[in-house]
Amino acid sequence: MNTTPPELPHAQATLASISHKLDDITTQLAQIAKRQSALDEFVGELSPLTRLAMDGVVERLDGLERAGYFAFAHELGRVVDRVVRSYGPEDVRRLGDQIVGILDTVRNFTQSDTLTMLNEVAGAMHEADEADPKGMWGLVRAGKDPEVKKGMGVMVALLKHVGRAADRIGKTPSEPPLVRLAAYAGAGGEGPPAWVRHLAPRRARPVAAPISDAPPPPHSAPTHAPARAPGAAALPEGYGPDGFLTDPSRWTPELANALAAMIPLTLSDAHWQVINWARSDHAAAGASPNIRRISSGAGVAVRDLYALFPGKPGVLVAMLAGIPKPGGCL
Amino acid sequence: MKDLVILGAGTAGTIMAQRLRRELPAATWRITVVDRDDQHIYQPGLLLLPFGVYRASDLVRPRRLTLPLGVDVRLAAVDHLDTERRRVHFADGSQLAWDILVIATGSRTVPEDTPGLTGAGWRRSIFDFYTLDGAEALGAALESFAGGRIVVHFADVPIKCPVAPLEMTFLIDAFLTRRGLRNKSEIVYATPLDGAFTKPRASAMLGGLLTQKQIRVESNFAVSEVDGERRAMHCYDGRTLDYDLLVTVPLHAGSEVIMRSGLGDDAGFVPTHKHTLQTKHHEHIFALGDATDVPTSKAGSVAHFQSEVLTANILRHIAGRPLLPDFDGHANCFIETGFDRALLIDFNYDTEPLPGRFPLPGVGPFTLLEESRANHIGKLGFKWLYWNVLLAGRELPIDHRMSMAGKWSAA
Repeated sequence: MNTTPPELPHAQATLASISHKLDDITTQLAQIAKRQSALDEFVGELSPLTRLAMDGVVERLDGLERAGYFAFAHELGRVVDRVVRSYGPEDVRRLGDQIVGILDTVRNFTQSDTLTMLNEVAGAMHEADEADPKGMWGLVRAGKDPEVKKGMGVMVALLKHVGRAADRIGKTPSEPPLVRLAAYAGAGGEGPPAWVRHLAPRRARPVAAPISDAPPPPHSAPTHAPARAPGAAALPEGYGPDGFLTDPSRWTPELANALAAMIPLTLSDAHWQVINWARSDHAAAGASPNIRRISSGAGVAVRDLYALFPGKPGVLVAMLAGIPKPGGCL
Repeated sequence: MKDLVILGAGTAGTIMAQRLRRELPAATWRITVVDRDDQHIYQPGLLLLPFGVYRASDLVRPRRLTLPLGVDVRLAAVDHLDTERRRVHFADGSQLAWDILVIATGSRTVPEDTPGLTGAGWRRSIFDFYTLDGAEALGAALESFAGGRIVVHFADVPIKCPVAPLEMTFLIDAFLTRRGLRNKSEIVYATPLDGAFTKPRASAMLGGLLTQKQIRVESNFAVSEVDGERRAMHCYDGRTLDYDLLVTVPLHAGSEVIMRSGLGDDAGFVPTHKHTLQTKHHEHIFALGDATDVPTSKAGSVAHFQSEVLTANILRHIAGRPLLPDFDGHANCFIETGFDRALLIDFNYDTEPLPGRFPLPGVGPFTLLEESRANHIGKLGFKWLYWNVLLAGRELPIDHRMSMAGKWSAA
């Protein structure tokens, strides 16, 4: 039971080791804290920059949307979709085989002189209605016109080429589709090949009506929508399609009476007490009161409110008081 | 040393503590956050908890860990506020003085207000999902549901997350379909409003959703009484709805502290200037989040957008400059529609929810007022964002003012 000298050095060593470990931990903690604060600082600096960048992107995209790019891309998507659904892989392969021929044709058609000629022909087609009917003599007389003479020359040359092409097609029955189209156009025969029929306008796909043309929502029963009630006197301006005033300052007691007559409802003093309270509450609180609030504010039991304004007291009180329709956010 | 006291450490109070601690010098301003418990609940998760998406432990974190370093945290029940002497009186008799008070006391459900609701059938055939144990009990009830009529209703506006009852209806429809019970069940959505959708554009675009999902809507159904024995819910106009399972969103009210202190309206919500967020009672008292009476949704997104305006206004108030009327009522909500799809709405005091793309015009990835998978993924991904970015008072790359960019407004 005397002192315990052999254990003392041991305890001192333990303490020293603990103290060393504490030092280590403290250093490590300081390092972790430094890293964390660097991260915090980074996020802190980055947040406003991200918002700035985001604002820029939003502005740019908004500009594109207003210019109609997204609506255009959307419609283009439909066009591509229609083409994809109408063409089989076989059709695309054959089209691919003929791509050089197609491009050649396009190039020939888009030479400036050809375009000028086609343009004039197209113009003449527009005026076709106004052209005088020509008899046999008229035709002969017109034949003297130098422009007509030139035109007839071109037509004859064209016919010659068409005839030559038709001749060639007759000898090579396995001609690719594009030439067969020429054959169909020039020589008649068994009707257009399948893929040409696909090119013709198909039954119009029902296209979703643009949002802006959406009809007014049918969310108000007709009997409670005075604007649409049969035989209703025309309401003054300022009413929305749901029969609620869009601007509460345009309300008059006469309006409330007129609206009540359409419900139909005859307004008693009890009704007026509720209506007047609802108007003053809306002016003070900035929102249409709910049924419970009307009940305690106007001092009328909820059951009595249902008796005064049958079926939907909250809605009817708001309508008659000329304040916004009570509702949720959706 | 001056004192700023934040009452409530929910979404709004926590974000305000984070932002103000960063802005106010620690040498001159002490910030104290007061709450009665240490449980911060991720409330949007309560909607998905009954369907097994989350466990309760996923949705709860200690408030101390969500609050910043450098603020005093006082976890104690408050008795009342003395606005004359600017003091918080705690239930244990102690007091806390303030130079500036921020009210972020939120709102609570009061099922006791509806006669019979908490009677015979409570938590047996009647379930709320706005509380953690309510949502868990509903999950258990759905697990053992074998078919019948489910009624989803809410007592009256305002409620937190006004779209939640509708989402719950959609999710129950999807749940029963997956379990092969849908053809043995009827789903009824009872609302005290004029219809499931009350805004013109939303009605036009989404009106078909309920018919398509074969959900019956009982509109203008203001509940007067619930008979738990007979499983019947009565309306003031004499209608009665029988149910096998009633999912209720009870009446909402402001905090009892607010009511006891005479700071609230009839329902206990604090009358607040809707653009500056200063209370109408007192120039040194500000309010945000669900606790106020401002006419926009009671939602976390609103508290977040308000926090930006309110932080700026408190700094201006301290500096003696006029407050900025900058809050526009901006709210932004995902709406689960079941089958792994969701809607998104973005609106403010003046603009009803419109269709379009969000946040990038034309690109999205979220679709406004239109169901999509991307929206559902956004809703699920939001939990991480909530705990780590939103509550930390970090800036999201979305402005607190609502933007018309990307919205297809009515021509």
